[in-house]
Amino acid sequence: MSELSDKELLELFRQKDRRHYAFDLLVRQYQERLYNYVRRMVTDHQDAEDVLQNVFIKAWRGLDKFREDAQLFSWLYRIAHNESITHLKRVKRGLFVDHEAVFERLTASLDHGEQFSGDAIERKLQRAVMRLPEKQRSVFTMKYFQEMKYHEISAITGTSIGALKSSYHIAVRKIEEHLTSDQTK
Amino acid sequence: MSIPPSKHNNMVPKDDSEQLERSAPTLMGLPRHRDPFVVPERFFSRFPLSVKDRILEQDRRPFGVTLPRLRLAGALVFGMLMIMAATYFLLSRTAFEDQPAELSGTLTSEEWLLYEDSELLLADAAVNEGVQIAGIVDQELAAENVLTFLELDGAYIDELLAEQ
Repeated sequence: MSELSDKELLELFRQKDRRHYAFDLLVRQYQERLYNYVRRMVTDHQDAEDVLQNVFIKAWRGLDKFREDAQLFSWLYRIAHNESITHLKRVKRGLFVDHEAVFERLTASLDHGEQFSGDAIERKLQRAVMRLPEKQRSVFTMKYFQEMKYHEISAITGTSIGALKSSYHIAVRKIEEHLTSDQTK
Repeated sequence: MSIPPSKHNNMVPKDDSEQLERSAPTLMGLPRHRDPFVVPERFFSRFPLSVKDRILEQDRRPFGVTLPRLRLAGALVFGMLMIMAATYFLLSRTAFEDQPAELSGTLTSEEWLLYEDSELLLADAAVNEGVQIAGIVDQELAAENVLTFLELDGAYIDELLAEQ
C-alpha cells in the first residue's frame, strides 16, 4: 500500500468514524523508523517496544492538538526522543545512578545472539555509543545512523545547530577513541 | 531489522564530512547502513495491534489516564499542607518566644489586687463621667453602652450602682 501524506493522514484522523483506521495507518507508516531510533537509544528490544508503545499512545492522545504547520514525523520523533531519554533516566534512577550498573543493564542484550547479530567491531561501536551521555547519544544516533540533517535534529531536540555540531563532533571523537583502544567493554 | 531508505539523504556538508573522516577514520570506515539489531519475526505486523489494544484498555479504565494526574495533585496538596503546617509551627514558636518575660510569670496576690482595683477605678470613672477612655474607647459612650460593656467584662455592676 502506498504511503499517505501527513495531510491525508490527519484529514482521515479527524473523521470520527475513521480515526482508528487512520491511526493504524500512521503507526504502520512510522513505526520502523521510530523503532530504529529508539532501539539504538535503549538497545534492548523489550525496552524499545515499551518506549515505542508509549510514543504512539501519547501521539494518539495529542494528535487532535497537533498543528499542521509542524511536520508529523518531526513531532513523532520528538516524542520518541523524549520518551527514550525518560526511559534512560528511569533506568538510572532504578540503579541509583551507578554508571557501570546502568551501562551493564543497557548493553546486556548485545551479548545475546537473539538480540544482536553484529560482529565484534559493531558490538564495540554500540558499546561506545552507550557510553555517551544521553543527549550526545541521541544526536549521534540521529546524525550518524539515521543521516538526518542538523536542522531536522534541531527541530526535534530544540537545540541550536551550533550546539548540535559541537555535540556530534565530541561524540565522534569519543567513539573513535573507544574503537581504537584495547577496551573490550 | 531493515533500515528504511533515509528520506534525509546523506548530504553531510563536504567540509564537515571530510573533517570527520580525518579525525575518525575507523568510525567513518564502518558500514553504517547495516543494522545489527535483531527484531522478532512479524514484530512490525503485530505492533500496531498491540498499540491499539493498549489504547482501548486505557479508554475502558476511566481512571487509566486520570489516576496518575490525581496522584500528582494529591502529592501537591499534601506538600502544600506540610508547608502550611511548618509555617504555622514556626510562626507560633516565634510569637511565643517574643512575648515579654513578665507576662509568662505569675502574679502575686498583692499585684492581682492592685490590678483589680485599677480596673474598678476605670469602670467607675466611665460610669460617672461618661468620658472617653483614651486608648481603650475611641468614641463617646452612652451610660447604657458602658453598662453593657461592663456586664460583658464581668464587672460587678450591682456593686458599682450601689456605690452611686
